[in-house]
Amino acid sequence: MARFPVADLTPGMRLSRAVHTDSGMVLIGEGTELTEAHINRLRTMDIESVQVELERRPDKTREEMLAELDERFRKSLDSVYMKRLKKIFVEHIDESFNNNGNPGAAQSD
Amino acid sequence: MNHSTIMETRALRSQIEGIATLPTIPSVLRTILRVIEDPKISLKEIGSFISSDPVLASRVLKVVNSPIYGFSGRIASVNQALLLLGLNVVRGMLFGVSVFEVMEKSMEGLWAHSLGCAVTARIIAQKKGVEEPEEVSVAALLHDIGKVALHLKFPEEYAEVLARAEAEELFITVAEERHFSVHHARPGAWIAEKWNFPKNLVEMIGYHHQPQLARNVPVQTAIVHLSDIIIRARGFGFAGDRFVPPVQPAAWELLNLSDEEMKSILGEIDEGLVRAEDFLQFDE
Repeated sequence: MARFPVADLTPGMRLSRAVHTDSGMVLIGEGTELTEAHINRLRTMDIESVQVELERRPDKTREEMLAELDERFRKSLDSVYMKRLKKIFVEHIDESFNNNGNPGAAQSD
Repeated sequence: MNHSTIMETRALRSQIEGIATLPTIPSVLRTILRVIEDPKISLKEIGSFISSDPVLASRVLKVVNSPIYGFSGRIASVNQALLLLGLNVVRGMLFGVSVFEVMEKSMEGLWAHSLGCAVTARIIAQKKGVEEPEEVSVAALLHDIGKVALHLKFPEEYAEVLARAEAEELFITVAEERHFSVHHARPGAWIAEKWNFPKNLVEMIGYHHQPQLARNVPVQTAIVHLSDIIIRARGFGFAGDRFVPPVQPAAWELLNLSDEEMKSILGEIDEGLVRAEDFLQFDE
């Protein structure tokens, strides 16, 4: 997510936070995909920037994330609960890489 | 605990309690806290008091609409915030917001850790159907306040404790205990009590490493405990050491979350943290 100047918005960007008027009324709701009309409306109002979702790209590879996880859990794996928690984290990392279609993740095609 | 340790702990307690107010609490916040303490004042009066200060009002709205509480962008007025969250929660939140600077000064990454813990606690509390999830969020936001207190009162010594934890690969609780004979949760509870925080909040802060000892709010305390562990495991922020401490078996059993539930919690945390990113700095 990032704060984006209204001047630089392009249609298709998605708001990650609602835009409000000064009186607190919701102008454009959270999650709205911006159209040309929305952007023009924002430009005519006195709004400088809005929060938009940027494509989420993990800044670390799967292998780096797993290595860091190993290190963090190093002192607590005597506990069966922590083994289970770690396994859940590993699966969660694997799934997030698969869903994002990250080139680093294992994919069949 | 032998006699001399008890004496030491008493001395430590009175020194910690001597921290009257946090140096960075802005004067307007001090005023608002005084106003809130007044038992005769109504919620509406407090609302209009907060609203009369635009900086304070915008800060309150920013916090209540943050991923800590999950109302995201839906709370448009201070009165609505007070009605939805209640006075105690707003008060704890104002503390949390005002201590963030000193938190970050005490330990780089502690604010992110606290914020991440609050997001996590809210998500788990909602999943478990806890009646006031916001109260659990506030406790999670403030759970490490004892680290701030130790740093404020004993800056050099606390820096040594941190250096030792790093060099000897100790859990921060162990390094603190070696030096002060107690770890940060006790001073956290002392200061929370001193500041007249509600007793549930004191209990959650005081027992976040021993949730099995909580008597009034055992589930909520277990949630703060587990959230602390999850957010460290997630590698978000810094809490004084590089290692995830083991979860208390009783707390894990009490919460009884299935693997599937845990995974959905981790997914929600990821979303919450993405939205929390820009909340890590205040730009007003």
